[in-house]
Amino acid sequence: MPAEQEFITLLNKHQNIIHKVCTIYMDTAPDKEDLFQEVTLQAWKSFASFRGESQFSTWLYRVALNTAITFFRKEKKQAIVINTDFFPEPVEHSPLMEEQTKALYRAIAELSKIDKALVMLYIEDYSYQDIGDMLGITPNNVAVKMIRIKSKLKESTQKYYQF
Amino acid sequence: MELDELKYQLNKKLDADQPKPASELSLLLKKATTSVIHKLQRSLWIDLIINMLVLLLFIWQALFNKLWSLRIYFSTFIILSLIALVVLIYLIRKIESLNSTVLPVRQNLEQIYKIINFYKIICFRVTMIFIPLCLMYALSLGYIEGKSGTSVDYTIVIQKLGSKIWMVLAGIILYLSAIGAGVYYFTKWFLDRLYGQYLIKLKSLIEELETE
Repeated sequence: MPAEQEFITLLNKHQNIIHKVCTIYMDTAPDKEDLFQEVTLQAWKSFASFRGESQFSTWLYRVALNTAITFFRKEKKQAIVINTDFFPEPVEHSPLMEEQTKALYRAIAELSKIDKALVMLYIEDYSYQDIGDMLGITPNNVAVKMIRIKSKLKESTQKYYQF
Repeated sequence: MELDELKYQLNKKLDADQPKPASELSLLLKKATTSVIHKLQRSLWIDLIINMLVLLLFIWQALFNKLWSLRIYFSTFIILSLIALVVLIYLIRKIESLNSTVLPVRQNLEQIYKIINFYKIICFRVTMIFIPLCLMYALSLGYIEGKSGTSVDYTIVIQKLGSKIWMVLAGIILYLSAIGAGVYYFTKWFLDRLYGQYLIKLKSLIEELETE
């Protein structure tokens, strides 16, 4: 199978990873689209380095996070408004759940790019060792950061919603 | 726990997200990347092409100029252009190797920072060093050539100027200072505008990853 065909087949199967990263890092549809394109291109450029030593999904996560973290938009002059309409709708449509989820999304949107990467990998059930390998830090550092992020999220979430 | 609650919500929702068809993914591969490192790579290629064209001009001048001082002057610049060529090729290859590998986030950030910072420092230093160096070198060669009788003899010019020589010297110094200051601030502003903010952001990301 030609490399391009093989890449498209794998990407097609795992494109939800890029969608997830774009949703976490971008808050408007055009920005999300731009990042999706950038991640796809970066993945294609470095596809030759994928030797199947790790799973394609793990490899794609690494590419997507590297791209998202180094992807800077020009600073907007106006105040930053977090558009919660763009966030995914909660699966369970209870008003309480919806409010809670929106509050948590708002809190995640306020996190730094590194913290977003940690949250992203954490919600994907990667171990601290794997997260550390992907980010280039020790598992102990991951654990410390996760404790801090969880507490930050709890605090921020309470600003938007009283659980 | 709130985060674990989100995990379920987000994964469920995104898994049900409208996927792009394979044909659209194929089209994306034909588009151009907008990353800063790619822009730097493009700048380096342009620098490389300009450098090679200038090198040809220098070789022409070094071989066929009537004045031996200018032949020496341009010969020196052939060597400097060749050094610049090596540096440019090194940087392009470094970026190509970075593009074709997938490093952990921290190492990736450090590599990008190193490459851009190296380019910024080299550009600034070369610009700053070359202005006085070129002027001094050109004046010295011109003076020696004038003494040998094949060009204008500056000692005769100085004698003719008499007491006005100080005014001429003051004018030259003022002119060079203005050029020097202008180039210094322009180069600094230009490089900062291109890469300054990006480097600050990269540095802060690296520091954030390093701290526990």
